[in-house]
Amino acid sequence: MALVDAQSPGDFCDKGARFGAHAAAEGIYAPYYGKIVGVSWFNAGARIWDIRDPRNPRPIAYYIQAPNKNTVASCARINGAAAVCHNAAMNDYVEFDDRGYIYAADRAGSGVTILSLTGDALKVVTPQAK
Amino acid sequence: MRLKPLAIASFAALCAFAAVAAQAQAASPTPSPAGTLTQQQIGALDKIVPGQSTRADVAALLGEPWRVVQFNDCGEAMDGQDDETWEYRGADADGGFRLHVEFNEHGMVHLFAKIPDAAPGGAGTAAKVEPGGSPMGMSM
Repeated sequence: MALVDAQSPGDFCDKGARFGAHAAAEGIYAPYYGKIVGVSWFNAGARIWDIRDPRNPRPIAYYIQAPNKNTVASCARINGAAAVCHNAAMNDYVEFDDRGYIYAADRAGSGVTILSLTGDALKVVTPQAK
Repeated sequence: MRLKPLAIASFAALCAFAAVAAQAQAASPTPSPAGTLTQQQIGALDKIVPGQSTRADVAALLGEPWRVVQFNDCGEAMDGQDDETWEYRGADADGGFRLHVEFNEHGMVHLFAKIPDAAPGGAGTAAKVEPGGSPMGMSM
């Protein structure tokens, strides 16, 4: 398990597994209702968006699960090239609870990570946030 | 970094088979975890041929797997593939690795790869695949 520095996410096309938006959180409770939404982004992890202004959603946080001993390899042969396997996590779902915890489930068997917002991202959901 | 991890929980169900098998071997004078390949088995991996070797061939050569993964998307396996991957663990001079064996719908090896533990992402690890088989692994 590792946090990836927000300044250097790398090229997700080279990390293996799938990339891209997959599923938006289906249950949004207080304290997050109307403020943030979580979206699973496969190998780009769990991504949180500030939706207080829904016409201008703003990315505020992300978490990328590192592969571990339980991660199932993702194997493919793309565009006729030789088949290749990658040890890559693949975030499948992001869900919230009414205590403010965020649950990031990995599709490739790496586990479920329980997260909380910190820093500027936390300010988005504090009571005084507009 | 704005998200802080609090805890991680693995899917214990995936390990249930390995745990039971390990208990069964507890009385052996030379116990080894189920699905852990011996040097003799590692030396025989070339006998596994995608498109030719069957599930029974793999079991006879390598024994019970460390883990069996059923991966499908909403109940559907990828076209032409069985809904099952067998994984073994092993170690050689290059370090630990996982042997990844996928089967096709006819119970034959579809894809076979020896994946080093220290190979997250990056260029990936070359895999052997059956001629004319599906271009995608089941876990995609």
